Amino acid sequence: MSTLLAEPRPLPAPAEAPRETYLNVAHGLMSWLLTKDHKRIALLYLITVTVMFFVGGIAITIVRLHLMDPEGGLVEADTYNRLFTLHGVIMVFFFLVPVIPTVLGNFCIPMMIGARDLAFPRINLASWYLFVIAAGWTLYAMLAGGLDTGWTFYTPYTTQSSHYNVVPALIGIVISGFSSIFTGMNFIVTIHKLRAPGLRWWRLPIFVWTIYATSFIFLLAVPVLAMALILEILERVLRIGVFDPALGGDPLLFQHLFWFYSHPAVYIMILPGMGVASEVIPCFARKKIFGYTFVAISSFGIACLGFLVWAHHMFVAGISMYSAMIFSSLSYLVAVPSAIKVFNWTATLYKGSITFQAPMLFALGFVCLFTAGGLPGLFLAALGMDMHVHDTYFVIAHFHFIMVGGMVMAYMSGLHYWWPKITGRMYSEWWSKLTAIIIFVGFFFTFLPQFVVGYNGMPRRYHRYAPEFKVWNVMSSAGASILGAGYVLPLFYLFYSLKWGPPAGPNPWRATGLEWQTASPPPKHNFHETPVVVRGPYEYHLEKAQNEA
Amino acid sequence: MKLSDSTIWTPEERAIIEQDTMLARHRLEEQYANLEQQHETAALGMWVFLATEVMFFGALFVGLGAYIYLHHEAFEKASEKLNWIIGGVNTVVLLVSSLMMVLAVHAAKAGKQRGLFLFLVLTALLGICFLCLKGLEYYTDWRDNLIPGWRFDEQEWIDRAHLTPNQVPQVKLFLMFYWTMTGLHALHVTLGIGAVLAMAVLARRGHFSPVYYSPVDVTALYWHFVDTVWIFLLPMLYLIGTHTAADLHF
Amino acid sequence: MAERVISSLSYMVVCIILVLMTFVTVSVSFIHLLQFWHIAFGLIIGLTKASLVVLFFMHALISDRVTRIVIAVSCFWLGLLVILTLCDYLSRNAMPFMPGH
Repeated sequence: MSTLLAEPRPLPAPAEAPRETYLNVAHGLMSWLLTKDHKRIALLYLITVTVMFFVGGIAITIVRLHLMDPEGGLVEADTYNRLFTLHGVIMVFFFLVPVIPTVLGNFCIPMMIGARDLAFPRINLASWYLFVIAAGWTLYAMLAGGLDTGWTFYTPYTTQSSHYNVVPALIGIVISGFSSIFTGMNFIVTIHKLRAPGLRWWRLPIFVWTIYATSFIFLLAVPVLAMALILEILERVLRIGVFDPALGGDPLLFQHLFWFYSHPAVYIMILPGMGVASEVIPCFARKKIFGYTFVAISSFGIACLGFLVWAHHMFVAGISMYSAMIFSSLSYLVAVPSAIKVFNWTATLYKGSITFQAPMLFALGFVCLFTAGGLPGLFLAALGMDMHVHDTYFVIAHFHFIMVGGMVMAYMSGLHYWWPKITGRMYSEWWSKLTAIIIFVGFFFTFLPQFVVGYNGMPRRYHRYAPEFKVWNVMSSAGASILGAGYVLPLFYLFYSLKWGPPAGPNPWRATGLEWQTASPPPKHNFHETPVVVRGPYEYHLEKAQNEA
Repeated sequence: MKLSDSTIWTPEERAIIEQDTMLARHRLEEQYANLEQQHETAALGMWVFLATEVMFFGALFVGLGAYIYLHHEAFEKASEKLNWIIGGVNTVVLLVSSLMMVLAVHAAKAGKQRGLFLFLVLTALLGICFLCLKGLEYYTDWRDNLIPGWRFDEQEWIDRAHLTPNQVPQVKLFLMFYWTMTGLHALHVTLGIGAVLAMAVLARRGHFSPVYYSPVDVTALYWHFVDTVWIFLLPMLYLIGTHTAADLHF
Repeated sequence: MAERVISSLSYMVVCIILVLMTFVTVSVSFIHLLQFWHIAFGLIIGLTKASLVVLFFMHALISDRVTRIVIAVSCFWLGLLVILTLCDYLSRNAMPFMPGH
C-alpha cells in the first residue's frame, strides 16, 4: 500500500539509438552476399584472403618441418612437390596479389577520394564472386588431385609429364585473373572520374597513386597470363605442340608470356605495400612525406619499368645472350624508383616526431626488410651471378624478404592502421606491438639463413639437401615457427577488439586524409556531404606550426 | 497539355523540370553526380576493358608471329588451305556492321528512335551473317581435313604439300592458332550480337534518349573492337600463304 | 558528351575506304614478295584500317584526353610485348659458335 503513495520513479532514459553505419544498415546474410557497398565487399575479401593465407601457411609449415632433416622423411618427394606448389599458387595468386588492393584498397580508396562508392559496384561484387569461385576451385584441384609443377607451370613438364590435376588448377587461376582485371578496371576508372571537387592529382594520397599503378599493371599483364595458361590447357588437352619442342613448339614462348605477367605481378605484390607505408610513416612521424612528387611518379616508374625486365627469370633458360644483356640492364634500372621511395621514407622520418604504435612498427619493419631483400635483387640482375644462384635458396630468400618481410608486414601495418576506421574499435596496443616484434624476429631467423644456403648452392624445390646445410635449415624452420605464431596472434587480439575494444573515434591517429574525416565505422555513403578539398595530403606540418604558434 | 504549352513556368523552370523528369526516368547511380559523369565513366570503363582485351588477343598474335618466323614454310603451306575468300568477305561484312553500329550511336545522340532501332538490328543481322559465313568456312575446313586432333591427315601434307614429317606438327601448330584465334573471335562476336540485340530491345521500348544512351555507346565500342581484331586476323592467318598461289580453291 | 560531332557522311566515306583497303590487302598478298614484306604490308595496312576504326568509329578523334591516353598506352604496351619477345627470337643464332649457344 505504501508503494501507491510513493513518488513514481522516473522511467529510465531511452537507450540512444545506435548510429547507423555500413555494418548495421542492413542485416542478414543476403545483405552481405548481394551488397554493392565497397566497404562490405572489402570485408568479404578480408575473410577470404585470410583463409587462403592460412591454408598456404599450413602447407609451408609442413615443408619447413620436413626440411629440418637433410634426408627429409616427413613427406614423400611427390607430396613435397605438391606442397610447395600449393604454397606458391595460393600465396601468389590468392593472397599477395589481391590482398591490399581488394581489402584496404576497396575499403579506403572511395573514401580517400571523397566518393560514395567505386565506379562499378556490381562489377566489384562480381570480382569477389569470381575470386571465391577461383579460390575454391583451385584449392580443390590442388588438394584432391594435386599439382606438382611449381607455381610457374613450366612446359613441357606441365603439359606432358605431370600426371596431376593440371587443367582444373589452371582454369581456376584464369578465373582469378578475371577477378583481378575487374578490380583493376574499377580502381582506374574510379580514380579518374569520381574524385571530390578540389582533389587534383597532386593532392591525392600516395596510397591512391600506388593502387592506381597496381591497377595499371593488373590491366596490362593479367590478360597475357590468362592467354598463356589457356594455351597450356589447350596443349595438354589437345596434345598440340604450342610449347613442346618435339611438336614444333618452343617452351620459352610459354616462359615469355608467363613472365610478362609474373614479373609485373611482383610489383603488384609490393606497390600497395609501399602505398601503405607512405600513409603510415608520415602519420606517425607527424611530418609531411618528403618528396611527394618523386614518390608519386616513382610508383608509376616501378609499374612501367617492371614490364621491361621479365626475361631476367629466363637467363639460364636459353634465351639469346643479347636479349639477356638487354634485360639485365633494364633490371638494374627498375631498382631506381624503389630506391627513391626508400630514400624518401627515410627522409620523412628525419626530424619527425616519431611514435612507435603498431602500424609504425610494422611500417618500419617493412622499410628495413624490403631494402635488405631488394638489394640482392641487383645481384640477381647480374648475368654472371645469376648463373650460379638461379633456382637456389638465394632467390627464395630474396623474394620472401620482399613479399613477406615487405608486403605482408605492410599489410599488417595497413590493417592495424585502418582497423579503427573499419571496425570503430581499438585493439590492444601491447599485444599488437609484441606481435610486430615477434614477426620481425621470426622473419629474420626464417629467411636470412636462406640467403646463406642459397649462396652456397642449396637448390630450391628439392625435398632433400646436402648435410652441410642442416644447421641453417633448422634455424630457418625454428624462425618459421616464431613467424607462424606471430601471424596467429592478430587473430586473437583483433577479434577480441571487435567486441571488447574501446570505441575509436573518427580519427584516433590524428591522421590527415579524407577517410579520417568521417565517422568510424563510416556510414553507408561514406560522407554525409561531398567533401571539398582545399589542401594537399600530409599537412602534418600545419599542425606543428599551429602547436608552435 | 504539353509542358511547352504551359505559361505557369519560366523557360528556366521548364528546363529544370524536363531535366529532372528525364533523370527520374533513367537510372542515375548513387555514386554519380550527374548523367554526364556516369556516361563518361561507363565509356572509360569500356575503353579500359578493351585495353585488357588488346593484351589478351595480343599474346596470341605474339605466339603466332614468333612461329611464323620460326616455321615460315610450313605455316605458309598451311595458310594456303584456309578459305581466304570467305575470310575477305567476312572482313567486309564486319566493316559494314561497324558502320551500322556507329550510325546507331549517331541516331541515339540525335534522339532518332526508329533510326537507332533499325541500325542496331542491321548490326546484329550483319553479325549473324558473319557467323553464318564462319560456319560455312568451318565446314569447308572440316571437309578439307584441317582440324588437328579430329580430322587431319598427316600423309596428305607430306605427299601433296611436299613437307617433311618434321614439318607436319608445325602445320598442326598453325591450325591450332587458326582455330583458337578465330574461335575466340567468334565467341566475342556472339557475345557482341547478344549485347546489340539487347540494346535493340531496349531501344524499341524507348529506354534511350539524347541525354541517356551510354549503354549503346559502350556496346558500340566493344563491337568496333571486335571488328579491329578481325582486321588483324585477316592478314596474319589467311594471307601469309596466298602469294604462292599454288592451291587456290573454294 | 563530346561537343564536336562526326557527320554520317564521314562515317560512310571511312567505311568505303576501309573496304577498299581490304581489297588492296588481299590483292597485294598474291604478289610474289619476300615473306617479310608480306607481313609488313599486311600489318601496315591493318594498322591503318584499325586507326581509322578507332579514330572515327570509336570517336577517338573527338574523345577526351584520358581516352586517348588509354588507347595510346594499350597500343604501346602490346608493342612492348611483341618487340621484347621477338628480340629474343630474332637474336638467337645471331652469332654462331658462341659458348653455350
